[in-house]
Amino acid sequence: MDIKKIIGFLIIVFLGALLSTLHWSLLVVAAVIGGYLIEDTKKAVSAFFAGIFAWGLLLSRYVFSPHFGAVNTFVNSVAGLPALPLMLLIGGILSLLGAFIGVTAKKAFKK
Amino acid sequence: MQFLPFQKRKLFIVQLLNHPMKHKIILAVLVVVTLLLSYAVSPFMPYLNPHTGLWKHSLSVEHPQEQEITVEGLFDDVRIERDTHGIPHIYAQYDLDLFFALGYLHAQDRLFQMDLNRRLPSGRLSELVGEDAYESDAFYRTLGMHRAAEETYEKSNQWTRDIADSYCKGVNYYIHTAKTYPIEYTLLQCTPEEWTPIDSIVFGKMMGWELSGNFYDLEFQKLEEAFGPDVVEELFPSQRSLEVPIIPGLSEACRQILHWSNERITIPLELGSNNWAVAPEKSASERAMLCNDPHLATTLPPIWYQAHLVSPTYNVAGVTFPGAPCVVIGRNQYIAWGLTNTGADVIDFYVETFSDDETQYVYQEQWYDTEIVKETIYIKGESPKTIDVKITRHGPVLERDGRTFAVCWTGLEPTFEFEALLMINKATNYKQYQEGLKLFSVPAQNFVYADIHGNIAMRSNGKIPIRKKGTGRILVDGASGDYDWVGYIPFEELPHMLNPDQGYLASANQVPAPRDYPYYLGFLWADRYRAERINNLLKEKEKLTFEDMIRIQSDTYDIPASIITPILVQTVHPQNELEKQALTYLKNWDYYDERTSIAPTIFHTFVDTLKDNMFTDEYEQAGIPDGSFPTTETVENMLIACEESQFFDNVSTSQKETREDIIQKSFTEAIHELKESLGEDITQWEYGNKHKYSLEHMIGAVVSALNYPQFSYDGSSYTVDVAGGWISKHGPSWRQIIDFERAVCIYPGGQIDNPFSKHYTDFVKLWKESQYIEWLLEGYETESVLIFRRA
Repeated sequence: MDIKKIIGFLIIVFLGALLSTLHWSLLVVAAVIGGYLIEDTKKAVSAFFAGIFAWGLLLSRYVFSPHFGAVNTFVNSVAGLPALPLMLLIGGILSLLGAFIGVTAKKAFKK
Repeated sequence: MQFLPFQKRKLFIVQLLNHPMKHKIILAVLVVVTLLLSYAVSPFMPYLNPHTGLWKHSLSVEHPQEQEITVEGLFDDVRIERDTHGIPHIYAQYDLDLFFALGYLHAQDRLFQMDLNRRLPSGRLSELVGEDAYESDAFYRTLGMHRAAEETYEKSNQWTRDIADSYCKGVNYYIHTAKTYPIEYTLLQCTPEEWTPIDSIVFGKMMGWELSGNFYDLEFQKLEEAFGPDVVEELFPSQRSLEVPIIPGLSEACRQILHWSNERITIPLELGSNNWAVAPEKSASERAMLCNDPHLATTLPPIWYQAHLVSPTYNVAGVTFPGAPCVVIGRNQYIAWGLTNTGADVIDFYVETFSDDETQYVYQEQWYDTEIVKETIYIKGESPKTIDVKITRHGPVLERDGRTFAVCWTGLEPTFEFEALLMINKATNYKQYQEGLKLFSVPAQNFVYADIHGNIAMRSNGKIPIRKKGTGRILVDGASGDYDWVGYIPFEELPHMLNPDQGYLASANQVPAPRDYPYYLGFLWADRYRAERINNLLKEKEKLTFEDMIRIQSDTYDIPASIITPILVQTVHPQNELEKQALTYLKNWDYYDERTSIAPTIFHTFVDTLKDNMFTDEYEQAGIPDGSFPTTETVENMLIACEESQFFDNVSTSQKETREDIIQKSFTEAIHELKESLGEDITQWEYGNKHKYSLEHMIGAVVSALNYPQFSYDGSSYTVDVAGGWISKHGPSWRQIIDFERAVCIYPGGQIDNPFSKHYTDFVKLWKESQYIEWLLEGYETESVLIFRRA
């Protein structure tokens, strides 16, 4: 197992979660860095799950609250659709795109 | 649009993959796609953000069981115990600390409500919600409650200002230290700004406006122009033959109230209330008893916030307005008090004669400069707009329904209700209580009083203007000065009564004083039904118990039904089996508007249809299709005593219809309507299937998930337990029964504005079944404790 790919994955998860506390879109920045380390386009698909983990990590502080279910039901009713999977999906896609950018950038600017 | 043939497309992709710049091209495409996706989801991310989105409200739903906060500026420690209903009991050694804590708790439990309540009357709602609120903001900026609030604060005494300032410090301490603001702020994407004493006062002004400010003068102008004063007199008589005034027996003439003539005018009032007090000699416990249920808009969170404040000066409990540093209705160890709206006429509209450029106006044949105040309204997402507010000696100039007039309203002067209530909060006897009342001006209220010494009292209290001429129920000329206010009814001469012989006093928004009362009070009184029922129930028993008080407060006997239904049953000839069944239900009805009964559904649908059939044709012919219909009491009088009334005839037909014709037609139409809406099976026509109560959140029209589900409810506009309309949104906003050994209370909602808290709506289940919580000031079960430690 290539250690750089694991580090790339973990960077997306943890740095992505950290940067997302500043602004949600900064998940992409972490994903670009992660993707740059992953290097491989096929392996970069794992960034989709890393993005889900990153935002899942942020959400975990609320998930264990006894009121999370009620709040989630409320969010669903406001959004008009299952908001939690939608949020995770958005995180996954943003992370995937970011990782692809990272991988492609590495290839594009390889000397 | 033409697509490339498959072979050509394949060739293009191959060429791209072999292109030396392919990675840069793909990179560019990926960046663009990522940016586009981010842009597309960005409107939703404030809510779906895993860190700062709506899920963050899962935390801090309930207050910690034990918490200590060190606060700078306190004189001593403050202990706050919340009981199992979420009601705080605040214990402080200093009054200013007490009100600091109240401010903190109001903000902690009701911050968004407070914010909205200050923004509306200040004309600053557009800052939160954008252009949609501009019209409302422009209206309130023109009216100038915020200007009056500033003047009030400047003229308040130091003691009141200190308390208001300390209260603000408490609110702002919470705003500055809160980890999360209420969910409404996340939904609206905004944050609260600092609270000022002006915000507290302006909210008080708003309550005054809701209860005493209105545009009925315009409505009457319209009606008189359409029908003439005589017909309006027939439609809107105020002093009706069976009226029972709030203050009994002011003079010999009062004994002849059954012979009153119709002299004044009323139109329907949405807001009303009940209160009464029973003297020890009529009380089974031999203690005075006091009951009150103010009828206001029942929103979520509720308009009231219950609290118990204890310091060396105060030991007062009751309901407060979030945003205001005092108990509005409640009790202390010595006295109890409650309020109903007097409905006095405290607003007049003056038609001014302006110069062409409106910079001057005429008053008593002289020209005066119009005062111009520039008001800038900030609008979320838009450029600010500045309006010029014109003010004459009568007040700010408004435009409405195509008319321009200056508004003269008692609430636009500096008034000192907080000071009054703070004095009442700590009063220990009737004399001290009266001293507080002297300062209470707006809105005029019927204050009911009882104390541990066995006194009971009622006073229609507030600033009620004395006019040079006229009653100001329609627009008046401002230029002549003939209709100006020349003073206010002196405090000593306002309708009042202490310890009456009858052993009780009751008010339900009916006329405050008998016909021979020397001052003009107004023309907007509620139908007599609630007042009559309360008086009957209080009168009929020699000794009244605490349980009797509970029964009266939840009474649903429908007096107009008991009068109109027999006429209906005698008049109608059923046309089919369904009508026959409906008549049988009406014949067997006990006239209680219970949710499980079928007759009230039929009766109230019939009354609605009858009013439509009686008045719509004349109103349309007169060009005022949206004019206010008369009250049910007027309809009742017409059915009984005015069989020849012109309103029984349908003016759009060639023949002349009679009272019998219109009753028959209305009954048939009502049954048809019920068949359409509730089905042919009459057993499904239970009142509760059509008559609902709605508890809507302040922004529930936009976020319906914040609302409480609608539920079946008893009562009607005419019952003591009031619930007007088919979907009622106004009603007993607070119920209290006090006899100085036991007290119970309830309100629809809960203490905390967080929709996920158990205290968001925990009172509703009890309230809708007319049940109460024991109102304990000691010996309560503590749910959580918060201690402010002096730094």
